[in-house]
Amino acid sequence: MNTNHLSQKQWAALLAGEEDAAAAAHLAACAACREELAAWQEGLAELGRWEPDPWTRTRVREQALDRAFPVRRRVWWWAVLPAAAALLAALVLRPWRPAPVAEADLAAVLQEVDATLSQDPLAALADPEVVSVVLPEPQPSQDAGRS
Amino acid sequence: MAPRVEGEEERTTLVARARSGDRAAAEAVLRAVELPVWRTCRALLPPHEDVEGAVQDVLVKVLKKLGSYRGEGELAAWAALVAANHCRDLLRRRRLVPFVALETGEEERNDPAAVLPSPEPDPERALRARQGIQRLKRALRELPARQQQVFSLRFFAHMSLAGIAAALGVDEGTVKTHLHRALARVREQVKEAWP
Repeated sequence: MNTNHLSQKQWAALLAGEEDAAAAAHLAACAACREELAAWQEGLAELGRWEPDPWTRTRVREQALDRAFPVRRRVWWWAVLPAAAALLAALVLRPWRPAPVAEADLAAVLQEVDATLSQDPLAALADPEVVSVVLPEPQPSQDAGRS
Repeated sequence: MAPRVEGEEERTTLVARARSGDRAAAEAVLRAVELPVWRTCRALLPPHEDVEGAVQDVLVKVLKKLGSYRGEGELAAWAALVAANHCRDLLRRRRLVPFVALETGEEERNDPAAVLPSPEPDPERALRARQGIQRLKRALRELPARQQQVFSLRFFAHMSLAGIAAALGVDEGTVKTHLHRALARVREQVKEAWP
């Protein structure tokens, strides 16, 4: 290895791609320096022309774009607004609650109840079925056995 | 090949559209800048780092920072700068910069490319070439920020010295000085592999 043929300054100039007549003259006569220069130029070129594979390159670019321009979730206003209006209307109108009884109907019902009770206050309890449940009739066979 | 956004007018229009939320324009911007970003991240990050993740982060940064792009120099150069700074910050946060070992050979073992058969007919030469590239990458990570930026712009974004000067807002002589210093430092660490 001989690194003293060309000065450090000359080497730097050569690698930077600058013209140097004295360095060129030395290179023409020195195989060792030519070999070193060739290795350098090859190495720098390798670093400078390297490319990632196209798939990776595209993927990384797309990922960067997605990060820089995040995709906003589209809101379907034309579908959301009618649904919201329907919900609001349902909350206000509450169709599931019992229908209010009209005052006129209520009065008629009360009048009918009053009339029934005035005739016989126990009439509502006098239904034969109700009475038979509350007061069961005595069984004749049991009475006969005892006597 | 990455599409180049040549004219200043075209570039300005594209950037304005991307800034206003035009996804197609943003994609065109990324296509124009992504290769230098990939190369910069690959060169400046150690093999165990998530290069893909870093590239994705840089591309998002590029799109979000389009407002701060003043139109000086090429978009690709500006993006390569963002990438170089991002890698540097990433390594600084993980405190990896001061602990990069030079002699372990771990990177060569971890690099999948190192175990693939090489098309080079001379195996010894191919091995030296691979080792040289790994050493070069390690050396790059240890460069001061400005030298690293200039190196990345020159060799990964393929910028001219004048273009780099425009991108960094310095004069061409300053760029040349940084580049020469970077190359001299890197060569010191690589010359054993590339005698």
